[in-house]
Amino acid sequence: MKKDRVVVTGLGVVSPIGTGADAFWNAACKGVNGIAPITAFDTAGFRTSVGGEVKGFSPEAYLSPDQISSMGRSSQLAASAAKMALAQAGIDITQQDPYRVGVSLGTTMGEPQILEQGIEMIYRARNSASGLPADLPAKYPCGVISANVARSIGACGPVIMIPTACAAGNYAIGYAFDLISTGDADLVVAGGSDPISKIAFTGFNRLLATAKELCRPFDKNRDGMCVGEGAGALALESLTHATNRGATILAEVLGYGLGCDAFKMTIPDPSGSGGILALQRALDNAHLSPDQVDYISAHGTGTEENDKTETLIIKAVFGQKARSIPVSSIKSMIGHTMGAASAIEAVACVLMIDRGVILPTINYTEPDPECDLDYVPNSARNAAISVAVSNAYAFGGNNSTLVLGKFGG
Amino acid sequence: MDQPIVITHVSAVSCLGTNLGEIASSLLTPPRIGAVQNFEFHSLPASQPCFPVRDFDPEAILGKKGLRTKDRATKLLLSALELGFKSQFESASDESRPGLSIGTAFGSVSSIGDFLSDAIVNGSHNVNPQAFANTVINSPTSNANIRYASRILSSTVSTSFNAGLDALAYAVMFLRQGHARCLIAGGLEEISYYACTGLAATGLLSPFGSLLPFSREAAGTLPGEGCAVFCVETEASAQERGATVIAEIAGIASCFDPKRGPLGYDPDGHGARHAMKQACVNAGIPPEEIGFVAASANGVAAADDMEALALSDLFPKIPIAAYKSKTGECMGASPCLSMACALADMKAGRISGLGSAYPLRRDVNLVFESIPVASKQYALVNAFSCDGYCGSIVLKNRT
Amino acid sequence: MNSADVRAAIRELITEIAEDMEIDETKITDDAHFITDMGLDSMALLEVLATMEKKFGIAIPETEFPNIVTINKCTATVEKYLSQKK
Repeated sequence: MKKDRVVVTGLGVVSPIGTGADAFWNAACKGVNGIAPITAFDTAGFRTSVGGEVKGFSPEAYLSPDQISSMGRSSQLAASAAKMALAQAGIDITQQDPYRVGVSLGTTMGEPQILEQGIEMIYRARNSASGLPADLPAKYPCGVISANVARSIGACGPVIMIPTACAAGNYAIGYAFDLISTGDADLVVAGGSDPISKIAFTGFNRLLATAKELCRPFDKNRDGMCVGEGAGALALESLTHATNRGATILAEVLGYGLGCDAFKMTIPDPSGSGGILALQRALDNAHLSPDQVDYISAHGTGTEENDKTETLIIKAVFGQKARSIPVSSIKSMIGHTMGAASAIEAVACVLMIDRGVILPTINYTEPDPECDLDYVPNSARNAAISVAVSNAYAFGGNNSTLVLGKFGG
Repeated sequence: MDQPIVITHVSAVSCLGTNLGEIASSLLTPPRIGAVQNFEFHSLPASQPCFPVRDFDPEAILGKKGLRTKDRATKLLLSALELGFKSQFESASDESRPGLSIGTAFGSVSSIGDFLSDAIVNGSHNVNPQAFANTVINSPTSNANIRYASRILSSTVSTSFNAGLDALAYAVMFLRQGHARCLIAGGLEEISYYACTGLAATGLLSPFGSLLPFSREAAGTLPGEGCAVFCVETEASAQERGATVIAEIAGIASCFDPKRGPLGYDPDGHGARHAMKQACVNAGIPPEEIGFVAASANGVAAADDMEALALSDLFPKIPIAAYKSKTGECMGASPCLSMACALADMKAGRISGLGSAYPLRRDVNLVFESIPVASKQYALVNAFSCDGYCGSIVLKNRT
Repeated sequence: MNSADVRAAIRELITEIAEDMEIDETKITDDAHFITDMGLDSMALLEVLATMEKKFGIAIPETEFPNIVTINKCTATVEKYLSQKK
């Protein structure tokens, strides 16, 4: 089978610390904290009132008024990120064979705000759906997000939504990688999105999993995750396609791996079995050995269980070398953006590879004896990265690892 | 394509039965339409005709363990897996237990909606934390992975009413790329208050309580539910396991049609045409080799018109089966239930008819009275959604 | 609401959870630790906490979470907050 290499030529990001790759990068290098009191809904009586909201996001910069009114927030975030990625890649879709252009996205909650809106309307009308606007329900099923993105960029090739919760971004990028390397598509916009949602906020509070004020991954005093929102998108294309049009290549996708805990829905396997499988399969898929890895973008949610288990996973795969590989979690700055998380982390990895700087884990004050790796505490660090791996773990024990590398020609 | 990807087993929980034999006999009987109205937190304004899975008793299939907090969608999937694949899971080694790729349009919408409704009725602080675990869209698939200790893959795909087909496409890609050798892939959907309300508001439901594909009177569809799952594996894996091959997925193609006509369907059918053509190209066969087509037609006039137009261009003479008249519009599960029906018909050496004839919207070679399947080995299964998702699968009969 | 009612409600829920997890009924005693003796998981504990709050109309602070580990301790905790409510 013909196998082409897959390269990254454009990035799009909407995050609590900035919209657009440069704004995001500048804030992340400074270690800006994007966690703040939630304004989207009332948080009175919950264990926490903070989260990672995207402030001042204006989809008008990327989408037409008609497109905006036909989309829920998750679609708006995703389509905006997709447009940014294509703009940076310098791709005019009208000059492409549209059937060779695909979209591969992930999400945790899809368009939860639409369902929230609908159910509130139903209760206001005394438990009757008779007053629901005709166009509201069609905005809900999560497949509508990838459809909206495809329509807004003009893609007619394979379009898919892979809602595998908080690992969805990596799943989606992985599928895009396979679509391109097998020659089923020349160009795929891959990523993930999730809007801030009352369901996720209520649920994670009920699980006592939310942090009270700050997200402190790997810190001894970490007390949970922060619910966030955002979108990340990467323009991925075959090396042949990128070279033929003289594109600037930012990084290369080297491979990915998936692995299941087969343990519990909401609790990671304490032995890290699924995460270890995902990481090993990713390195195998990329034909790399553990000693070739220069940086690890952690899932690093800031919960007791995740950070302990992830540290264990890294040690199991990297052995002696684990302590010398920098590991950081940008969730310390932007919170857990759910289905967008691993997509934004992939964007961050590409930027780190391209610009030779490792983003920090902020809010890190006291080491935890059970988390004893180099978490790049509090300040960004200059370092050349040839190979980066990015972990993402999800409810249901759906674990994933993506491998990105510097493009060497 | 590289080495063939084959189907070695089929299991279902559907209104037509749980295996190819039951489905083959049910296809010869008239559609059995039921009704739903009341759900846990909400009621529909009037009783909604639909195709429910009747007498579904998950405890009888699965035993009591672990079902207390599971939603209906999860129980449908677990039951289909238990009935069809329990021994395969149990006899496989830890590394070779098949992974899962499951498509669903609405996913866990009833768990999410009920979680929100519970928060509104009883207060946000009183929701059950166990119920939150069901709200993620990948919860049915993940619950299945956990139950059957499968570590290779747990993937959920949601591309509207094409979800089941795209879950198969995902699985085929996973196998082609060598990530796995044997997977279980399929589609899943439950009838929920939220889906019924959504389809009604969108204008997709029939006001007459009937589902007549390609009918001149076609005015809408009726919801259905169910789960159909297939063991898909490389030919080499099937040989090693000594598994009997039912059919080969000779070609599969998905594309997107951005044009939005009435109810979201492209009246010109560009995407539909492309998907069918590309599936044949991927299978390496000309369209003339197709023995029959399992249509996506669901009684929604715009959908049926679009498909009829595309079919008349590519397959002017070929017999067309429209299984949704017997299964209902099972949303994300539909492509897989149609595929199970096509396989049941293939195995039985016939194309089952819809029953008594009715006037058609366009010139479609719709099969009303069952006919023997032609000597041709191939069948095409279509899935076209109002969101623009278009997909087709070419099946090669190997029985 | 007396102590026996509270205990009975907790016992009923634990029995239901244990049955769902196919845990031997003989393991359910008033002193048995939900996790180490009976084999429940932390999700089950969260459910016990949530159900007690809802059933008795009380708010149990998170700091009490470590005390929701046996039927006896759970009963005492619920009673403490029931008496504060009065």
